[in-house]
Amino acid sequence: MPFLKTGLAIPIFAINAELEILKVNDMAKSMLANGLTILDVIEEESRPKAVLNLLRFEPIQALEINALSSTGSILLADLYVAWSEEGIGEVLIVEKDKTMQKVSEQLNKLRNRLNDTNFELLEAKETAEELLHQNIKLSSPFIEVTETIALIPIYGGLNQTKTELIASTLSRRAYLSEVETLILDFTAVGHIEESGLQGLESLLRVLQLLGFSMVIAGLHPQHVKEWNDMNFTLDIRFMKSLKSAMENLLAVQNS
Amino acid sequence: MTDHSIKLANLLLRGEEQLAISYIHSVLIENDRLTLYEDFLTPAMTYIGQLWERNEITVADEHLATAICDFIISDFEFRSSMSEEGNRKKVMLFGVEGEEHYIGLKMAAAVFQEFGWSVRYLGPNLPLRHAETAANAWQPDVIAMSAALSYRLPMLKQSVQVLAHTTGQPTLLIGGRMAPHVHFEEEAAPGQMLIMTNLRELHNWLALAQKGVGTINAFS
Repeated sequence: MPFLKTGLAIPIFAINAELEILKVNDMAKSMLANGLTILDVIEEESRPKAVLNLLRFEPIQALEINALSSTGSILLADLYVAWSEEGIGEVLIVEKDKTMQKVSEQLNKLRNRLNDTNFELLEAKETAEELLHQNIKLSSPFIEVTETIALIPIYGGLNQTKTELIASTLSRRAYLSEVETLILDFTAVGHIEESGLQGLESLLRVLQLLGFSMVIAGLHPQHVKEWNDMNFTLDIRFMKSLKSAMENLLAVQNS
Repeated sequence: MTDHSIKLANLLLRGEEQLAISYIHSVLIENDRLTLYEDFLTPAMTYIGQLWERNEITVADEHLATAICDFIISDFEFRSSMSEEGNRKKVMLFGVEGEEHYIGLKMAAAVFQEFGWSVRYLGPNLPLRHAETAANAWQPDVIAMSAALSYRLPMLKQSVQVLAHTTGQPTLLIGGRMAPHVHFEEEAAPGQMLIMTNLRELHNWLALAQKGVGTINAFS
């Protein structure tokens, strides 16, 4: 066994056909785990691969395996074997170039960072959704102006989700109150989507069924156009502005 | 092993993410993600593992295939629109300390998402103390963890023992390649731990939980 004296900077083992270690060089002693068989130097999940290849008793070039270091850590390595005529195998375990590992670690770090960012975005999205929900809830306050009149100023654009939410809170609130007339003020409403208008129609229907008389005030010329396209069949009074609506209703009340 | 997964494995190994995605679109019926995860990607990755055992590819090839697979899952991930409900069930997923395999975990996270759960995917190799802090802070209904290698089993058991006692007493799900080899339920967290050997099992469990047949904390 001349290799034991050469002091090669590569771990070398001599094994028999049972894969038992017969000899090791200094490098193998200092760098890799020690054990009775060559499998003790190889990480558990790589053992089936090593056994499969070693037991062919043929020369092996660069069999990629995970080896165990003397400290118990895992080293990605290539295993080389040559068998002598007496059935002695000379095993070299050459640690893999670290460049690939470095790149892979870098990629891992990047992936983790992306994952973190993803999280933060998700959390921000959830907060934004919650705020939007709150915002919608607050965009149609129910204000009792007199004993019999309530004012509902509606804010922002109207789409299906928003009208549905407004409808559920408003009908409940109106039902619990003593008022008879509801003024829905559209002064602060932006664009009304068609789905929003449909939702609005069903809301007005519910309110009418509950026995409220309704006044719509502050419609923009653009809203009027959208409204007309809808062919609303409900009996609703329209007033130019909130001011005229209030004056009108109060005059009726005081007469 | 189907032809589909072998073809897919070859595309993953070549780093062809766009070709892989179009291939999936051409063979996947009705965008069924469970089939994609369970019948296409999982066997493809298993096949890639076998290629490494046969010394036909290297760890570097495997890493590339994993990255492409990751990309595909992200591309197919269901974007849940059920977030308006405030009372969604919460799940936290991670790979136990030291475990770097995460593709299965990511697919499990996507399955939870499909069922409208609020999902926190914490990735692989999460130190146990971080997992514990996260569990106490967020109080998930379910904590799902995975391990792929046999020597992670002690860590997995320790994680189960620690997390079983976090606030909210979450249900603990164990998945990953080691799931069938876990036999410490009674010892580590009796009545609180479930083993999911594949995604279909997880899917069925979530479907039952959704219907209310057997709630999250009912074990059958």
